[in-house]
Amino acid sequence: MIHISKRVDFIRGKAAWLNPFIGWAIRILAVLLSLVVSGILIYSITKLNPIQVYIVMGKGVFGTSRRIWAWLRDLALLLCISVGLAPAFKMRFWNIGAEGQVLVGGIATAACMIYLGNAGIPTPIFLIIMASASILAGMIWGVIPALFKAKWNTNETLFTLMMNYIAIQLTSFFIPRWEHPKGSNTVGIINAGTKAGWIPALLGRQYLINILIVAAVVILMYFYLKKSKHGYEIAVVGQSENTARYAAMNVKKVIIRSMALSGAICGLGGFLAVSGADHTISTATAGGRGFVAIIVAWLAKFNTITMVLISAMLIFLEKGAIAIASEFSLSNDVSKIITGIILFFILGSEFFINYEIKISSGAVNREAVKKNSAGMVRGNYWQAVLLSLLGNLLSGTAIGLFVFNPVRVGLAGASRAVYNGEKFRPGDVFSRFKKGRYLHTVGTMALVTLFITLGLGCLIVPGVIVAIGLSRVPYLLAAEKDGEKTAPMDILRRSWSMMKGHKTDHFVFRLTFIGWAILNFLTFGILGLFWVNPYFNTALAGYHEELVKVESQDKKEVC
Amino acid sequence: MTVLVQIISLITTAISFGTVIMYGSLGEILTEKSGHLNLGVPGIMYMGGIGGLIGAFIYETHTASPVPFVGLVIALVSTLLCSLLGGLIYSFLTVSLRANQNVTGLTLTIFGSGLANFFGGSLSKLAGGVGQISVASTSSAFRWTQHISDRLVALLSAKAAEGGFMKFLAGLFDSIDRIFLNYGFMVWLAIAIAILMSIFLNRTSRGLNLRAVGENPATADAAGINVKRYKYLSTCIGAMISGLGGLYYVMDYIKGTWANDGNIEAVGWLAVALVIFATWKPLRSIWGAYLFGALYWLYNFIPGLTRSSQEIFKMLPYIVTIIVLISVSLRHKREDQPPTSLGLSYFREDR
Repeated sequence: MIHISKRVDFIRGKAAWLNPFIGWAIRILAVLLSLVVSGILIYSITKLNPIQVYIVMGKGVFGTSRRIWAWLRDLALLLCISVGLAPAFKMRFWNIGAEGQVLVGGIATAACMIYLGNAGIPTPIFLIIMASASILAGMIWGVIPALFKAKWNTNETLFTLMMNYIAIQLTSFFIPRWEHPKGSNTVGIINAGTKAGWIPALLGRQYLINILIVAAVVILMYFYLKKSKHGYEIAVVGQSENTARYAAMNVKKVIIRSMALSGAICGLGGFLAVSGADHTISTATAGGRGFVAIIVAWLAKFNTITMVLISAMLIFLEKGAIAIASEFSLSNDVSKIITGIILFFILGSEFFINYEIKISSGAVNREAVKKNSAGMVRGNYWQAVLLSLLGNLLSGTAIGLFVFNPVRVGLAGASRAVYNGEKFRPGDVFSRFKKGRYLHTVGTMALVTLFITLGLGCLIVPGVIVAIGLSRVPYLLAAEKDGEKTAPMDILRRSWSMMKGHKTDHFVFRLTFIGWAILNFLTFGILGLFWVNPYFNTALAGYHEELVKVESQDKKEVC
Repeated sequence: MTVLVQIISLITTAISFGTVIMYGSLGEILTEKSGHLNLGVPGIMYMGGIGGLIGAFIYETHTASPVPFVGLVIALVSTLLCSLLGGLIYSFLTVSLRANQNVTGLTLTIFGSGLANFFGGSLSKLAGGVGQISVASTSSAFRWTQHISDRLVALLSAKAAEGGFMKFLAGLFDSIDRIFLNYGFMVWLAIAIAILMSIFLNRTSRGLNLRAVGENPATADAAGINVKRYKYLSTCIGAMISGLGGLYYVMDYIKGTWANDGNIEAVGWLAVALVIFATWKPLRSIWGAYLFGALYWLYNFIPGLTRSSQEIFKMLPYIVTIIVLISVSLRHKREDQPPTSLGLSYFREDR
C-alpha cells in the first residue's frame, strides 16, 4: 500500500547538509520537465524545433546589453512586489491585493509628476516626494483590509482581491482626466520634454537606480524578517495566533503593522514602474505582476534571497517568450502558457519535497524473488529449460486465443511450481487443455485481451496500466483447483484489486530484466533459450507468490 | 416613456451580462463547498470559452453547410472538456499534491488566459484578421429560444390588427418578450443549474456530505466519506459549470466572435466576488448575478456622466461585495459563513 507522510529529511546522519540541495535538485528537475512539456506543446502547435525556440528565447533576453538591462529592470519590479508580500504571507495573511497596491502607488506617482512637474523642485527632493506619496497610497490600500481582518476577522483573501478592482477602476477614472493627447484615452508619456519626475540615469545606466533601490529593499527585508523582533512576531502570528496571544503579543497590531509595510513596499513598486520605467500610467501598469509576485513569494517560502532567483527565472520566461513570439510571429500570450506550465510543475514538485511516499509493508521484495527464482531454475535446470522452451515456443508459433492463452496459463501454473520447488513436468504447459477447463480459460483470457486492446486504443498508456492490472489472471486461473470455476469477471476484478498499489512496483520489476533482454537479443535468442526465459518465467511466477503472501499479511494487520 | 425604455433596457442588459457571472459563480460555489478556493475561475472561463469557439470554428470551416444544432453540441462538448482539463489540473495539484490553493488558482488563471488568447489570436489569423472569426450559425443556435419567442411576437402582432383584446395581448406579450424572453437558452440553463445545485446542496445526502467535507474534512473522513473523491468531483464539475460561462459569453453575449480584450478575466473576478455576495448560496446568486450585471452597466443609464466618472460606477459590484464581506464577518450568522476549511489542504495525518 502507498503511504504518504511528512518528510523530515532526505538524508539523515553525516550527509544531512545535502538536504537543501536535494530540494533544489527536485525543483530544477521539475523546471526541466516542464520545459520538455512546453517544448512538446510548442512543437505540436508551431512545428518548430523546440531547442531552436529556446535558443531564440535566450538571445531575446541576453542578446544585447540593452535587453539585459530591460530584463534587470523588470526583474527589479517583480522582486520589489514579491518582497513586499513577504511579511504578509509569512504572517499567513493572504494579500492578493498587490496588483491594486502597486496601481495606487503608481497613481500617486503619476499625480505628483503631473501636478508638481512644472514646480521646479530639485530632482532628488522630487523623487523623495513621489516615493513617499506612492508608499503612503500603497500603505492605505493595504491597511484597509488589515483593519477589518484584525477587528472582525474579515476574510482578507477576498477583501484584498476586491481592492484590486477598485484600484483598477480608480486608474480608469484618472486616465481621462490626465489623458494626453485629448481623446486618446491614454495618459501618454508624462513630462516627455522636461523629464521631470523621471528617475534619472546613474553612471549612464537608465535603470540602475531602480535596481539599487530594490536591492536595498531586498536586503533590509531579509534582515527584518530573520533578525528583528518584528520579524519574529510575524512568524509567531503566522504559525499560531493563539500562541502569539499567549506570549502577550498584540496580534492586531502585528497584523496592521505588517500589512502597512507590505502595502508600502508594493506602493513603492508602483513608483518604480511609473517614474522609473513606463513614465505613464494605465490599468496595465501593474500588468498582472501583483499576481505573479504572489506565486514568487510563496515558492520562495518567504525567503527574500530565493525570491531573486525565482523572479529572475519568471522574467526570463516572460521576455524570452515575447522574443519567440516576435521571431516566429506568434502571439505574446505564449509567455503566459509557458509560465503557467512551469509554475504547475514547480507547485507539483513541492509535494515531493515536503512529503515522502513509502510503499509500506505490502511491497514485494523484488531482489529476493529474483534470487530465489535463479536458485530454483538452477536446481531443476533441464526440466525448467524444457518447460520454458515448450511454453515460449508454442506461444510464439501458435497464434490465436485458442492455443496461445491456455499455454500461457499452463506455463504460469508450472512456473509457480518451479518457484516453490514443487514437482512439475514440462508437459504441464498443456494442463489447461483438459475438458471443463479449456473453455473457461479461453473465455477469461479473451476478456483480458479485450480490455488491454481497449486500453491501448486510448493512447497506449491506459493499455499498459490495464495489462499490469490484469497480469494476475493467468496465475489465478492456474491456481484454480479441479472442478472449481470462478466467474471470469470476478477473476479479473480479483487481479485488479491485488495489483492495487503494486502496479508501479510490478512495472519496475519487469523493467529490471531489460539487461537480460538485451543480452538475449545480442545472442540471437540462444541465451534466452538456456537461461533468460526460464529465469524470467519463474521470477514472474515468484512475484505472484510473494504478492499473495504480502496480501494475506496485510489482511492480518488490518484485523 | 423614455425612462421606462431605459429601465427595460437596463434589465435586459443586466440579465444577459449577469448570466456570464452566474455561471462562473455557480461553479465556484460548488468548488468552494468542498473547501477549495479556486482563484482559477477566470482562467477556466477562458479555457471553456476558447474550447467552444475552436470546436465550432473547426466544425463550421470543415463542413460545407454546417447544421447549427450540431455546432451547438460540438461547442458544448469541447467547452466541457476544456474546462474539465482546467479543473483536473487544479484538483490534481491541490487535492493530490496538496499545493497551495491560492497560488495554484492564480497560476491557472495566467495559464488559461494565455491559452485562450493565444488560440483566439491564432484563430483570428486563420480566419483572416482581427475580429474576423465568426461562427454565426452555431452562435444563432445558442439563441434558439429567442427565435421561438420572436415568432410568437410576430404571430401575435399579425393578429393585433384585429384590434381590441388581441391588440392588448400583443402589446403585453411584446413587452414581456423584451424584458424576460429575449435571451438564448443558456440564460435559462443557468437558472436551472442554480436551482438544481441548491436542491443538491440542501436536500440530498450527497450534498450534505459535500458540505461536511468543506466544513471539516477530518470529521467527514472519520464518518466514512471519501474526502478526495468529493473534492475531485466538486472541483471538476464546478470547473465545467464555470466553463459554460465562457461559452455563453463567446457564443451568445458577443455572438460567436473573439476579442482579446480581457473581458472574460474581469467577469471571472466578478464571479468570485458574486460567490461572497451570494454567501455561498446558489439561489441567491441568481438575483445577485443580475444585480451585478445591472450595477456594472448602470453608468450607461445615468445621464450626464463623463468618461471619467463612469469608471466610478463600475466599481459598484466590487464595493458592494466588500460591504457584504464585512457585514458577514460582523453579523456572524452561521448560515452565511464561508466553508470553514476553505483554502486549507487536507492531509489525513495532519491532526
